[in-house]
Amino acid sequence: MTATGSPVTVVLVDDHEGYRRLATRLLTAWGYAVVGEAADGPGAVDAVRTLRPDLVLLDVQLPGFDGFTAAGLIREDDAGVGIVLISGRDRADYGDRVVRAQADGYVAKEELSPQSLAAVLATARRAARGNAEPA
Amino acid sequence: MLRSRPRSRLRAAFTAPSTPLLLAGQTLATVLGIVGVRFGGYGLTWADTVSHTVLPLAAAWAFTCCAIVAAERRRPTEAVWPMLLAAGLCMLLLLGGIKNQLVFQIAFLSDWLVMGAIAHVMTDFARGAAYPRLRRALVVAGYVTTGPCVLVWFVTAGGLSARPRDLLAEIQVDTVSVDTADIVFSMLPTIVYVVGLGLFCVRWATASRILRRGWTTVLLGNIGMTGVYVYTGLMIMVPALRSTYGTGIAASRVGLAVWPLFLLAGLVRARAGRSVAADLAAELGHAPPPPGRLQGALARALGDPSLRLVYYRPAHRDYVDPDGRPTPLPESGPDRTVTVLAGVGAIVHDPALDESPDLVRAVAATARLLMENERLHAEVRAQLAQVRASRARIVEAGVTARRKIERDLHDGAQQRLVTLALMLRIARGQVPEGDASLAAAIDEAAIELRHAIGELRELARGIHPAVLTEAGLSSALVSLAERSTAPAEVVEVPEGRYPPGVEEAVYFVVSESLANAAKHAGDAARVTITVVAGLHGGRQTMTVEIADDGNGGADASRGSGLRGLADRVEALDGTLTVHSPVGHGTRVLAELPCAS
Repeated sequence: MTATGSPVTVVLVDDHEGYRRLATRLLTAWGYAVVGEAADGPGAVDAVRTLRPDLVLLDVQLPGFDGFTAAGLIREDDAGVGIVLISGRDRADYGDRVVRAQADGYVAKEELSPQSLAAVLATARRAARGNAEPA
Repeated sequence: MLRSRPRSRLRAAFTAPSTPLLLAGQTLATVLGIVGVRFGGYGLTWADTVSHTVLPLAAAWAFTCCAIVAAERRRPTEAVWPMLLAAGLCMLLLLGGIKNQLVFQIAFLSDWLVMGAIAHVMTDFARGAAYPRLRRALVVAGYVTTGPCVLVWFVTAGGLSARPRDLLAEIQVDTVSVDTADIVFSMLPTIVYVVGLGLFCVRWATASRILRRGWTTVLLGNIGMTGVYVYTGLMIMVPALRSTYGTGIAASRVGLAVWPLFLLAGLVRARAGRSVAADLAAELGHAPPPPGRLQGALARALGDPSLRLVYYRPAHRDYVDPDGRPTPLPESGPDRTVTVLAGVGAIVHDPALDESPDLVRAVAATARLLMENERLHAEVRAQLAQVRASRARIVEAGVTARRKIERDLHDGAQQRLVTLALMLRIARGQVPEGDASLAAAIDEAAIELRHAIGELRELARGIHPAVLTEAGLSSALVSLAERSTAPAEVVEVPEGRYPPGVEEAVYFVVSESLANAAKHAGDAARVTITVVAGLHGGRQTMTVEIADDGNGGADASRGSGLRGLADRVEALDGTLTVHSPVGHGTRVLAELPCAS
């Protein structure tokens, strides 16, 4: 829930239709509003551009271009949107690319939960504040 | 063994007269000639006889020697028969000292015809393959202008009825009176000589170094001889020179005797050149050049920098170059000749050497053993290259296969387990309030599933580190360093992608070395990782160094981990060295060839 009480809007990006279906069910159950879905990199960028969600759940391995690239493009369009990378792989399998990516956090697909999402977003907010303070 | 040349063998048979018979005949003719001139009717003393006959006899003997030397070499190109003809005509010159009508006429005509024979020798000596028609035309023109033409001139000028005169005494004639016919007929052979000399100059200038060696002497002789004949021609033509007639005749007689000596010197010198080459080849036999250098040694011996060797591989029925690279057997053409040594290989050389097949044959015979040796080396090198190539292919295929298995695990089983985890989560949300046992069962299942996913990931990572595929070598090494138990830092690593086999080997070298450092180097040790890609000894190489400042004392031969690493690196044609003096840290250094 946002401060205004309306549900957090989410765009879900994953190339597996089955995973999207289940994740949408879960997210809806947890109180999120899944406003759009995409199955590839370019689709993700377009969906975010038109739907302006609060949060993007972005699979890393996507047809077209990958989640890292998509995150960079989305961030260019919308500096305020929350971006969380999701993947079936371990975070370490991407080396330092996750850290360098224009995303707020990383959640393994099977770990998807309100708690894990809240945790990475909270960490990102802390980091952003930390960066902003000295300025 | 060598290219078969049936035509030249046939010709060689014709150009090989029996030397003892020749010498016996010539000796007899010499004695008869001297006696004939002494009692020929011109009333000469023995002293006069000697002074009259010495030059023609010297010429005749010199030509015979040339013919014998040339015939001995069984070279069809060096005009054995015209040499013998010239020798015979020189002997006939002696008839000029016998006071008899017919004999005088024969001697007179021989005196001219010998110029034709000389022109023939000059044109045919070391003739090569250039200007065959011009050459034939010159030979014919030489004989026509000194034979039939002179005969016609002689008859029309009333020579048949002329009184015989001592032709051998013409040296003493002061001056002659000539008419137009004399000028025309005496100039014709001179023109043949000048053209012949020009042709020889061209041949000399375009000959290979080793052939030119013998020809230079002959060229000098030809220049002198042509000069003499040009002078005798001018002497008839220019009235002012007619008073030097005797001198001109003397010069031409001296030239006749001396020119064959130049020819002989040229033949001997060419042989000397040949024996130098043979010596060189023999020297190679004593101290075999290092493998692969035979080609250069032969090129120097034969004075042909373009010379190439190819070796035959009986097992494959194909040819390889000295480095073992398969190469087709070239065909002889205008720019190269292929001399095949059956069962060993072939020498590909400059066609200029065709003119001395005996030289190539001599060198080839000497080089044969060495070539056999080199052939084995080349074959081993070729096999080694094949083994290396197949090993590299096997390694690469292994990496590709493992990458695929890893990817399949991730896309298949892993994906399904992840989906299952979400399903359990949905089921958990739908458990009615109060059904604690069902909730607990689902929670347990979820925990078990999480373990299964974790184990599957570890398994996949062991098969192939996905980080290499997903993030590249640089990121992979940085993340290895970050996760390392011993504090590690990546000092340098090239960005960009390299062959999967190389990336994987580097990854495992670093990860194994980090694990070793964590285990053995001690708590205080710090590890640095340096990877540099660059040209090393002429080939693209990736150098990996993992150094720590710990306890040292690691033994590559004892630890199976290091042995395994060495195998992995060597399979890619690389090297792995471990420096680990006790108390001074450990330094693992791997060098891998890589074409990025």
